[in-house]
Amino acid sequence: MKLDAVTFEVLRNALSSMCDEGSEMIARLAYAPTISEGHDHSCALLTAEGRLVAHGNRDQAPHIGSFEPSVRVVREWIDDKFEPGDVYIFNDPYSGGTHCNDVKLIRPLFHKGKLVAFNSSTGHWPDVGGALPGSFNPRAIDCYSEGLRIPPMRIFKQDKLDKTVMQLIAYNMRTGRERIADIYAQHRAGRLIEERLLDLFDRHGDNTIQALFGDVFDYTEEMFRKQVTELPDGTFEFEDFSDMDVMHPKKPRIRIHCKMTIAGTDVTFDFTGSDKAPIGPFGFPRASLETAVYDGTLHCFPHLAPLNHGLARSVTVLSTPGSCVDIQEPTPASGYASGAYEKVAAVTMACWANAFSTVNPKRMYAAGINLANLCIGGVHPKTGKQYVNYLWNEGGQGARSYKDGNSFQMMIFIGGATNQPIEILERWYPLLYTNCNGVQDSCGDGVYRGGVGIDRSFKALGAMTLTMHGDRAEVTPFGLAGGTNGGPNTLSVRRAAAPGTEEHLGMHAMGIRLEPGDHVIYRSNGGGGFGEALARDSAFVLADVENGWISRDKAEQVYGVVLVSQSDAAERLAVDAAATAALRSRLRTTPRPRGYGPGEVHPLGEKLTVPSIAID
Amino acid sequence: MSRYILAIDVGGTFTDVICYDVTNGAVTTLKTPSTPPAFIDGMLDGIAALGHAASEIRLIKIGTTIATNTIIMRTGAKTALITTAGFTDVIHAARAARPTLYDSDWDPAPALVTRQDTLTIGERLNYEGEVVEALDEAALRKLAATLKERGTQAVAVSFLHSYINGAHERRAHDILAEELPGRFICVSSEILPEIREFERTSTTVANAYLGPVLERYLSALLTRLDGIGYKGGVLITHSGGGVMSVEAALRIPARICQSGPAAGVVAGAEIGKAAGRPNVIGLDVGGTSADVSLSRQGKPLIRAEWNIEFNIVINFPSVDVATIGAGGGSIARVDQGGVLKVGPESAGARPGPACYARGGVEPTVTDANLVLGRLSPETRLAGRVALRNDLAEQAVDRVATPLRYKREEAAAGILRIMRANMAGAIRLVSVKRGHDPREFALVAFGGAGPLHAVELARELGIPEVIVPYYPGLGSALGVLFVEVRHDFVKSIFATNTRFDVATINDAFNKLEAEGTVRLEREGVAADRIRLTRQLDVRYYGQVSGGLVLPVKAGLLSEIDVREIFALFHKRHAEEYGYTLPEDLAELEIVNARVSAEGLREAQPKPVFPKPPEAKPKPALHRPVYFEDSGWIETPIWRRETLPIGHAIEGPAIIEQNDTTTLLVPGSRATVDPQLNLLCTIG
Repeated sequence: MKLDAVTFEVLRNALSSMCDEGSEMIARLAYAPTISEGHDHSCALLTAEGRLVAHGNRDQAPHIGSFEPSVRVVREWIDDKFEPGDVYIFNDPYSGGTHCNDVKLIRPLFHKGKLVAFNSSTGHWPDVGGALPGSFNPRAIDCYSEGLRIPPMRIFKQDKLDKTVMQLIAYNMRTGRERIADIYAQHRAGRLIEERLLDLFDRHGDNTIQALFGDVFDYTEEMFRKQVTELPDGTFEFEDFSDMDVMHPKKPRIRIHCKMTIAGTDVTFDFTGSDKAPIGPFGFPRASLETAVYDGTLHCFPHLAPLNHGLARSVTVLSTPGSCVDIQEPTPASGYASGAYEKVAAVTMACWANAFSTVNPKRMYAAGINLANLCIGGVHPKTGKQYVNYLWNEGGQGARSYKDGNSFQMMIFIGGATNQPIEILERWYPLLYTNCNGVQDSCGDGVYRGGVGIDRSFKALGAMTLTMHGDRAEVTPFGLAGGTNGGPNTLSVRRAAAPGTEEHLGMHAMGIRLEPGDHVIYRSNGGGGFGEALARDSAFVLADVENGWISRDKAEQVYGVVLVSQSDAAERLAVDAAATAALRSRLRTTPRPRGYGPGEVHPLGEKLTVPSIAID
Repeated sequence: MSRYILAIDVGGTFTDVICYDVTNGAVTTLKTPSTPPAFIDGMLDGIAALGHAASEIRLIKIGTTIATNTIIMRTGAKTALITTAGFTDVIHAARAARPTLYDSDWDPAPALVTRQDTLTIGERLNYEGEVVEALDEAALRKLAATLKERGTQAVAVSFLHSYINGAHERRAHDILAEELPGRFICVSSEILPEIREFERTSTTVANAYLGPVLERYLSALLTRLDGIGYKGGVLITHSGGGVMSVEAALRIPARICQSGPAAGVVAGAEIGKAAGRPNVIGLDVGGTSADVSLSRQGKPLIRAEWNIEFNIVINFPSVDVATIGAGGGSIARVDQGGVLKVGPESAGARPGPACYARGGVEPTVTDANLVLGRLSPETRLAGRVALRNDLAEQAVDRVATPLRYKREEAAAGILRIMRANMAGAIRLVSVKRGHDPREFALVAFGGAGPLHAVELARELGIPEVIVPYYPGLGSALGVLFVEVRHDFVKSIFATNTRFDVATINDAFNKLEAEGTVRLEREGVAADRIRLTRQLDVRYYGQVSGGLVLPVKAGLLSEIDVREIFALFHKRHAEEYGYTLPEDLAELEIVNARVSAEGLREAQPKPVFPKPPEAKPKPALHRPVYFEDSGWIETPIWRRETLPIGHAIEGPAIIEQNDTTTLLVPGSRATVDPQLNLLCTIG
């Protein structure tokens, strides 16, 4: 490190603070509720060479790894001929990572006439064109039906919006005019970060800040490698699957396989054992593979956050071009987050869990909720205005090796997002929600159970088009150490015109037409469990039943805990200890089924155990 | 004749009492140990120790930490929540937010009601307040029976869209009051009629959770005060930087949370005003944390959102205080990457810094100050312990050795990082909110504030530091100064193309009438009531952004409303550097806000003890380490010996019983007529 230990610490936090400020500015000014209420946006700072230095602490992990390749593309494209006040717009998935909805603004930062850094922001725009409102296209066979791909284009010159470029973009997406507000929001954030960074340069000098950038990388790399040496050398493998390749005639599952090798301080993640890219959407470009690996890794090394180039240069990631984790144009990419990204992050964490099991079993986490992207679009019957919105659910976190997973969490890979208030959604869109409550029994079971999923069902008040693009309806979040897999993501509709029936829509529903009164049932994953359910403390099971997380039936059938009523009026229960002991010994003789679905025991997850975990 | 106003701040460790004589402005102060959980004992000890007859006291104003403590320690009432059928987990899911991206070990704070005690009832309104499903009154009566059986002490009611139509909630309140006599019942449309179901529900639940606790506390307090023959009024401070009657406090007890720090901010603002510096940044550094705030034109910044814990939201308009884990007890360590870190872990009061000799071995900020001679072994800190140099040195060596630093370099490094953390918090309330710190004076409170303030000001370009005469009594002073104040908010939805001026007038009239009635009931004369109006306006399309704009008094005309929209465009351009093209620039009014403020008494003008006139001399000299110049033999002054107008050049240290002020070389302090130290930064 070039700076002394004190100067480094004094300055380092300023870098992510300015990104935090930028992110908050975007949320304040944007029109897109995905951004302003849902916080699906990020801000980052990169060196003049395009290396990631810092990002906001409440940003979205999948965006963060895409900043480096995005800045690289812009630099190459325009041959480094930047001027102060230039801002470039860019969203191409293949060269930048993620999907078309994540629109980036990239700003070169000059100090005393010299290019010293870049900042970039990403906002998930509610629509970027394509076949369907929301631009998610679960049945795409290529990227051309997933929205507008924007190559690097200068959208601000001397901080003045280029209206021609803006119009081209606005013409090609639903509610395109509203994106002007989002462009201004992202632009303003970029200026703010510029102001803050230049202030740092003025106060501490060019040499100190440039040294700081390098030190940030060195520091992270050194911390990471030191901790890796404490882990045993070896090879750790894990795999998981998507529900299906929906466009393939046989609808096969798609495999993500990771072989992690630790040799001294070097770590390699080899994904070459993953399936080739499917016909339909699922996979992601190489840049997102790297991001997902860093994401899973940082969950096991949380003190290394925020992510920067130092971690990126400390690990090796291998993939086969054309595979589902390294897709090539024109393989579709819109559903990458619920597809390959979530799986890669989860299997990366499972590989680390294996490595950590003998050293620090706290770092073992069962898998948690996955995204089920739901987009609606139409014309509001009251205002006559066109609308598009993107909805998602929180759900169950995977169990920890020492504690239950929490309910109602955002996916681990979009930790900076939040839910969207129902009262706001109902004011803006013709929706009438019927639920915001936990899905009882949706947790994966174990000594420690996963969190439960949520039910956010709603009725349509006007005609609208609905698209669902998700995963983990069939292959659900895996348990570890004999804990069972969590409950499914589900989507179905009860038509007003056909009372008493329920139509299953699944995770790849495209352009579904809803009529007023149609009731959409929308529920999310519970997290995987950890350890054998029959060894769970019966007092925990009692509390779970009293609090409504699980039913009495599940308490008996899965946990072998027999409850008796203590006070009917107050709805109080108690554990029948003798009956519980008898039932548990009987249930132990019939092992739970192995498999990838809800309530089953994941065949690889089962092998990841801790020598002893607390049991009653 | 009754001549004294008592301002009492009941903290976790100490109860501070300020006694103000309205006839001559004389102030006496007193510090007595707090007596948790029976806080009232300590308060009465303090009152008794003043030695005034109860009949001589005309008003008692109280700041108390009891509400905050009750939530943090989870010692509130057994509370139930009744909400719309199907929506059990609005409160338990919260906003599904996490404080950091990569931390699977993090757990959200559990809600203040259990899931079992979260009950639902058939009823539904739509976003326009129209009834979609009628309230199921029979089912509600049944629920009440269950709650009775469970021993529920408090009930919060929060239904969807009640901010626009509170009828179902009011009816539910009436039914529950019939069925559950003696229980504390509150409804969200009365507590916080604002859109966003989680935030409104969370605030209402916190209110119910505190209700019975505050009922017990306040009725015991009134009984005890009656017992000593006190017949005057009692006012309670709240988070909005005001006081309210006991009656109001019983209705909205959640408003009392965070009142101590809020009062401290008011003290900073008043001290600044009196010293001719209406723009101040307040800094209060104690043992474990630092509170930072900002006041402009003598008014503290107010914010609409506040988390007492992550996920426990209380959204009353509150004085904006940023709290960070940086204090005298903050621990320094070297991490695996070889970098020095300070805090947020704190040695607290037990074991405390290593130099307390209570078993702490890790170096803290206080140890670093001692090693550098900024504190001396004779300095008496919290609990009045003597400080041990040798233990502080050993502790600092624990970081100096792995860094290969000299001991004093390591100690100076610890302080530099501590300052950087505090500077970050100051930027949060200033730069980040569009205020340039160079236009402010820094008011330093707390045992450790004046020790760091001058260097901190230099780093931030703040030209001046004010060290008040009683830096350890910030909150109590604030309690003395605060006026009766209530803040009201009502969601109204209107746009610049579709608005009805009558609706806006109606909202303001109702809120103002409510404010006036409340203040008059609290003893504020009608001619002393000040009403301030504001509107939250934003682009129609933005969900969380927008600006809070001032609104003139009286009946608004359509032209007035159009002027408000014009003002939005102007202010938006100033603040953000752009306005949107016309077709996107529909504007929306979201909330009407009214603040009602007024003084029951004339504004206090405290006169401090008569200062000495003799020319003072430094009590002694000792070597003190400064980062740029190394060890310097530095004069040590006693604060109480300094007459008005006396000037001291840095380097110097000014000691007093509850704090130490450090002047670095190049800075200079002058004693002003209010006995503040006005320090200019060289």
